[in-house]
Amino acid sequence: MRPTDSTRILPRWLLVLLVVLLAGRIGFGLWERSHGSTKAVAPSAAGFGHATGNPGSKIDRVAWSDFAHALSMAQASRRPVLYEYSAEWCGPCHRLSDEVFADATSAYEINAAFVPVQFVDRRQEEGHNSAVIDSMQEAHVIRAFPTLVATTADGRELGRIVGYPGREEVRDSLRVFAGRAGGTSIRMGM
Amino acid sequence: MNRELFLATFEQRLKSPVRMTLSAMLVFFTAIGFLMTRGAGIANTPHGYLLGLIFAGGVLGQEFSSGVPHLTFTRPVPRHVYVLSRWAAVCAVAVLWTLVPFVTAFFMTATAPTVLLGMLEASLQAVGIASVVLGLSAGLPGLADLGGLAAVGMIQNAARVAGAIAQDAKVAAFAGMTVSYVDAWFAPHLVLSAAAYGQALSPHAVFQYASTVVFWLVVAVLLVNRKQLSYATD
Repeated sequence: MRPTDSTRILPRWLLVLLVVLLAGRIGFGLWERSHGSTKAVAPSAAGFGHATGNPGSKIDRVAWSDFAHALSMAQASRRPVLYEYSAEWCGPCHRLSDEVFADATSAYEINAAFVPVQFVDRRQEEGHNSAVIDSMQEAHVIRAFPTLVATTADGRELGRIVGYPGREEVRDSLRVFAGRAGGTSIRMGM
Repeated sequence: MNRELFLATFEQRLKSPVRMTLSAMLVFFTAIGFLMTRGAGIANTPHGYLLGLIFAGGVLGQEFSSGVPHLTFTRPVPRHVYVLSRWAAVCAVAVLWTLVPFVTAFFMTATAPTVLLGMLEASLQAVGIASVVLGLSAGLPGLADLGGLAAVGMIQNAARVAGAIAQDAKVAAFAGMTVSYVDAWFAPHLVLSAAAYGQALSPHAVFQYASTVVFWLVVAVLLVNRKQLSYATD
């Protein structure tokens, strides 16, 4: 450096880099929020609740997470992930939705103890699923609907419920899965 | 970057008995964990984060408390070069130690892509937390940077507890969001292991990580540029 240069300069390239990265952070954040490009299936479009056209269905109270952020959310909040695999044509799936996901207490327990993610099979309606749903069904070896799979953020399976055994059975099993995760500070069943 | 400053910091960190003891224990137990789980626990391991803390703790604050930088700054070394050289050195040490347990994983059943993703994820975690500590260390004396991070952790835990005891889903969601936002600024990381489950890496997550790292570097340079660290007027 020249003798006249100050040693206390803030390099411009570092500032430019910061501005570019912050702009990208905000821009992609807004874009992903509005587009949900990697989202599996939005709950509102998933065939549950009032959106199904099924007049008997109730409002789904579970705060389903965007799959793209579920693992990082699980890691950040130290909660396990609860994957729900279902299909629109599946009767027991609707019962699960109406009796568990629409129930305020059950939904509160799920939201508090898990990062819930929902995948709705569309093969019967559209002939195929998205690649994400197919790969997740394969990864979790899904053979029937509904199936609930609880895993840690790093993918270790904590337990699963195949079919719909009834609300209390589902809640009891989910409590057990949350307990297996360790570090889950939420008291279930309040 | 200044080669001498880099090497001096690298050597200084490696010669610290406390840091080396803690790192050796951490690496040993992480490697044992990899062996016991036969590679299943490779993703999301916290050892990169902890090694980043161990090697970056007091990276500037301890020096400033001793008065050494005042002498260093009498030489024509730009201060941002000093900051970035020290940051690069602590990152290098932390990443080297972070990679050690993965050597055991290669000999176990874990598949190579899983191990590579785990290595990259843990290394980025070490670099991320080293940047945060550097920024805090530039403004806080001694090892108060670690104290500052502990305070942030307590705030996060308070938010978690508030979310847990509040019988309201909105409050719980707000608390969870608070924890996530604080985490993004004080514990930058990229969840690369999700790729193993068919999940594409979010561009937002990449920019979030990179911008947080650079943000803390800028904070460190700005704080080190303060006049109080000068003998001379400039």
